[in-house]
Amino acid sequence: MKNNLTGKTLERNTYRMIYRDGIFDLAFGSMFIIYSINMYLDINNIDTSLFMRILIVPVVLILAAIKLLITQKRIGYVKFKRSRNRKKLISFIIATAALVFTTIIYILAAGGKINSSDGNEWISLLIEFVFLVSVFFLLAYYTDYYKFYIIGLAMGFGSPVSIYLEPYLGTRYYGLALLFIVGTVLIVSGIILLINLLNQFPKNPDYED
Amino acid sequence: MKTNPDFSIIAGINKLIHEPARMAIISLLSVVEEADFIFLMNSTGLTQGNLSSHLARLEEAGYVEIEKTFKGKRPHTVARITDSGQRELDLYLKTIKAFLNYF
Repeated sequence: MKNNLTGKTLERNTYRMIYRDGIFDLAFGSMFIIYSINMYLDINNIDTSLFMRILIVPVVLILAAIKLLITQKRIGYVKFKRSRNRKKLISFIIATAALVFTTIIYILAAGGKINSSDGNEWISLLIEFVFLVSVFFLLAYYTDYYKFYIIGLAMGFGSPVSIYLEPYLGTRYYGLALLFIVGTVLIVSGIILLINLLNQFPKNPDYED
Repeated sequence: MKTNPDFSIIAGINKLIHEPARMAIISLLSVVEEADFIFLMNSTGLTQGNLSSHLARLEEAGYVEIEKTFKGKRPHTVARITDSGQRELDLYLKTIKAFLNYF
């Protein structure tokens, strides 16, 4: 038996209540699906509208509104301790650093400063895989949103699957299909969680004592 | 080598905390800064009446402090564990752990 009863597991499980409404699943699921559709359109040189490019913005705003106005009220209010705020800050720093790093790489690649197609493609794929998996695994640990483990693996394997299966299957869509499938699974899971929450915690905050 | 169990340990246990519903409430409050009535109800699975009466018992004992405000026209009850409540919970857990060591 453990010597220190710190209540860490209880705190973690209590914190995970905020994911019970499925809004996070719906947000990340939508991101994956919209991203894979955009990539599919790009690969096929189909010109997409600006709306399709920025579709994720209204989707996230709508989900945030649902969380704020509907689900949060049903779950109830809770304020966590400082240790949780520290974890949130670390998650934020990791996510921001990853975003900045990715943007720099994207800009350098677009400007032709770095090129992965000159015989060392597997090195850049390996770096991409390690980077994506590390970032999402760290986020999963610090946010206690365990689906980040699956998201990290899907993101990490996306490009290698696309590129290395191309000679055998004649298409690069399999990596996108992987992202699309994970996105669909997340959306289905989010919808189920949301429906369950709405049924389980009815909208009746009048029942205060 | 384990000696014979000292049953006096368990006899002196805090019965107010030992009750399952109150145990759920106070242990949940011990891992957060504060939580409102709805969150406590959803997390513990207690009914409104049950939660209300158990919270009142814990408040009477000084283990929990309750702040009642209004959000618009609706009452809003926020509960948090007190230092004394935290001490009692720690002592309770220590006692239970000491007793379980005999198994």
